[in-house]
Amino acid sequence: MNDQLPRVLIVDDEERIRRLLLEYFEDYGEFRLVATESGEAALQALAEEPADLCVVDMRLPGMNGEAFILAAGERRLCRRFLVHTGSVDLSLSEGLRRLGITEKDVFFKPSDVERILGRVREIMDGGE
Amino acid sequence: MKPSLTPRSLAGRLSLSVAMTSVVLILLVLGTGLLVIMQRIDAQMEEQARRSAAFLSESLAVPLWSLDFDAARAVGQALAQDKVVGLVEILGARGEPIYRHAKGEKLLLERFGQVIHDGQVIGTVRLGLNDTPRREALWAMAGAGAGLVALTITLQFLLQAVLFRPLLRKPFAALDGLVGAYAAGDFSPSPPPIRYAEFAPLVSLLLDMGRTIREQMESLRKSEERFSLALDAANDGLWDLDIPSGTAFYSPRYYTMLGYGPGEFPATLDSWRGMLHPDDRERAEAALAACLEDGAPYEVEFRQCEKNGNWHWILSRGRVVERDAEGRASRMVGTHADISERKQAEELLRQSEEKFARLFRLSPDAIIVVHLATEQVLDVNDAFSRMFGFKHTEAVGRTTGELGLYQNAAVRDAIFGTLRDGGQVENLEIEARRKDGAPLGCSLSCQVLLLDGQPHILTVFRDITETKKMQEMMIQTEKMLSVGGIAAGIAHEINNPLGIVLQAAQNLVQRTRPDFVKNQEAAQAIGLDLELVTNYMRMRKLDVFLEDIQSAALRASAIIRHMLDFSRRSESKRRICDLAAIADKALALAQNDYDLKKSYDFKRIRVDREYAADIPAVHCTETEIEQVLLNLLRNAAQAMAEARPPVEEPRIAIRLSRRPGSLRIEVEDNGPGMPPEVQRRAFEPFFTTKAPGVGTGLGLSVSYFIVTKGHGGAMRLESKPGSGSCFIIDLPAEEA
Repeated sequence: MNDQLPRVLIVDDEERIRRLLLEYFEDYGEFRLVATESGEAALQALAEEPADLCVVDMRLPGMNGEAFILAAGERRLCRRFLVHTGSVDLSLSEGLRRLGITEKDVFFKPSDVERILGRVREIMDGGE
Repeated sequence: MKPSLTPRSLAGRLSLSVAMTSVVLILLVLGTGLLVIMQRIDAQMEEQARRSAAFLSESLAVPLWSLDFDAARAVGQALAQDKVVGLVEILGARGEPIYRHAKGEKLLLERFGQVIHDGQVIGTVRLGLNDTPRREALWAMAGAGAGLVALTITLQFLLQAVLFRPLLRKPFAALDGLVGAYAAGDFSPSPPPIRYAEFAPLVSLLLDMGRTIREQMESLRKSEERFSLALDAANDGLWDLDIPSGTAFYSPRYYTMLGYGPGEFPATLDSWRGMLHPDDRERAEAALAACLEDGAPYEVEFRQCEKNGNWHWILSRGRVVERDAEGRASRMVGTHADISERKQAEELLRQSEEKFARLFRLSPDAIIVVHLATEQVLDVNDAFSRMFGFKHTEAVGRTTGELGLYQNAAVRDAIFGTLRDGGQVENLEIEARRKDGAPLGCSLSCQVLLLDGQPHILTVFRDITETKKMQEMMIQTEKMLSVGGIAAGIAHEINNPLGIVLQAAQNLVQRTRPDFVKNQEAAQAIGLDLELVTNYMRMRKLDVFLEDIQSAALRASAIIRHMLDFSRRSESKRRICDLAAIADKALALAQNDYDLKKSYDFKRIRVDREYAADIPAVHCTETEIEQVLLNLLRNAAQAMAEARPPVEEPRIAIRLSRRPGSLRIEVEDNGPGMPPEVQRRAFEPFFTTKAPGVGTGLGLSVSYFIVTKGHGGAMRLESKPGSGSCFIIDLPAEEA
């Protein structure tokens, strides 16, 4: 695999969602993909190698999505984050907004994967 | 007998009497003694005179004979020495005086003698004796008598002094003490220490008298005490009026009743007059005058001024007890009873009665009073007339059965039965009937009460149509809340599998795409023609199925999102809104709604915008209220589109008006309206009358939640089948 490709980390406790996203993105061959089932595991993975983007589920066992994002952002282990949540009324906290997360980066499940892909590409191309 | 002015001393008199008696006795004794002594003295002097005369005669015989007159004179002189002898006269034979001695005193007795010598009278002698012995004896006796009398009187006084004290003065002093004790008010003194029988009757009489007086005093005291206790117990003041002088006796309570100290104002009729309330004065004085005039019973209520200036209600009763010779009232006695509390109670009662009368008249609940026995209506209030449609005159005098107030006569009979058995009915829900036959849901409470001694039923009908509606609304609210709660809880759980469904379908689409390099590589590796696969999928409509899976997942997700709207809070987006602008915007959206155009052309509907000029500002979330209004407009348009037969002149009215403390929005149509069962469930989540797939059944429930939960307002609907529906929303207004 090409080490120059952007590294994308998927964090979701639901195995099938993790897998489906991973499989979908893998098909494009544009990313180096990692998937973990918890925030703690994700931080560990990032510690081994920082990522360019994380797709994060909010409701996670143990450390929740927001805590993970804040921790990873704090340690500068990841540049950008997408929120992928099962809940319906997420409001972005100040902390998340400071890390550059906007409404455009929030995807409510079930969400169109193509839209997620579109947003990821946008970000990787340096768009906001 | 006239009593002497200066009382004489009994003891003195007694002593005087005894002394006089003694003196008389003494004088008698002495007198008798004197007589005896006098006689004896007389006899002695007789003897002495005889002897002295004889002696003289003898002694002179010689001298005379011898004519020795000197010697004769010497004899005479010698004899004259005797003081008893008052006269000595010696005469010669021829009667010539020889010697004469006369003291000139009164002579008691005289004796004559002849001097005889040899039988021949040679001279005569005259001898007189005076009363010296008698006088001496008399003086002696008088002296003795005086001494005796003096002695007796002295003794008498001594005796009096010594004996009168213990015998008379002491007993009298004791009696005096007894009477003095009575005079001093002590009627039970110890019996006086008098031992003499003479005093016994008097003592016992006095003691008896004391006992009688004591008993009478006791009985008088008791009577007075009773009287005073009665006055005290009645808490009455006493007055005793002397009419001619206008003065009176007022008891202490008379004063204290008015807040004065006893005696603080003069006890006169004028004081009484002066303290009367101006409004009561004429009446009170007239009552008094009538009583004085013809003895009419005096009983009058009036107010008098208390010391602190307040008015005090008093009941004064009395009567004339004395009249003068001409029959004019001269004395009147009576009482003052404190009736302030009674008056207050009367006033309270009056107020309370008035309050109840007012309560009866103004009660929003229908109240009727029915005679228990005859079952006739005695009275109804205005609310009854309003609620049931019977005028007062139509209802009174008839029975509730005749009026047909109860849908079910058996219910009426049961109520009467319960009340006749002494029970009462509380909040019994019944179906009542109006005059026009329309049913009326009522909560009924009855109680038997005595009016003029007759048992009557007081029945209160409360129209619970609204309450029932409210209750249903509450139940609905609860239902929706629980739906909202459940939705929030399960949304996440459902959204995850929905996400899997959607993404799996998308992955499936992606991995069957012939233009995708990875797919081509994989197909090539196993010698599969991807074009054929695509064709096959299209032929067998697998691509459509995949579309279906995706859209169904999205729809399910949308439903969940709507459900969550129940519990979503949106205060953060609240601001002061212009409701007119919002309504217009909602109207514009409805008129351009593509979905709606498919089934109905909104342009055909006449829309009346009736916005009041003074609508208050409302704090709300604009988009939500817009959503609510759009929802209502859509529903109205759809309902009219589906109406069979079609609505001839479809019309929607949007009204904005000011209500006390709120703004009212009404959206009314003249569509087919809703039957009652639909009205009841209209706000229920997932309840819909639209064809499956056309509505989610969430529009009205979400609207209801936005209004009630989100904005603290109220939302309800009024509808009559065949003549349209009206949704009414009240939003709390900002303080103007």
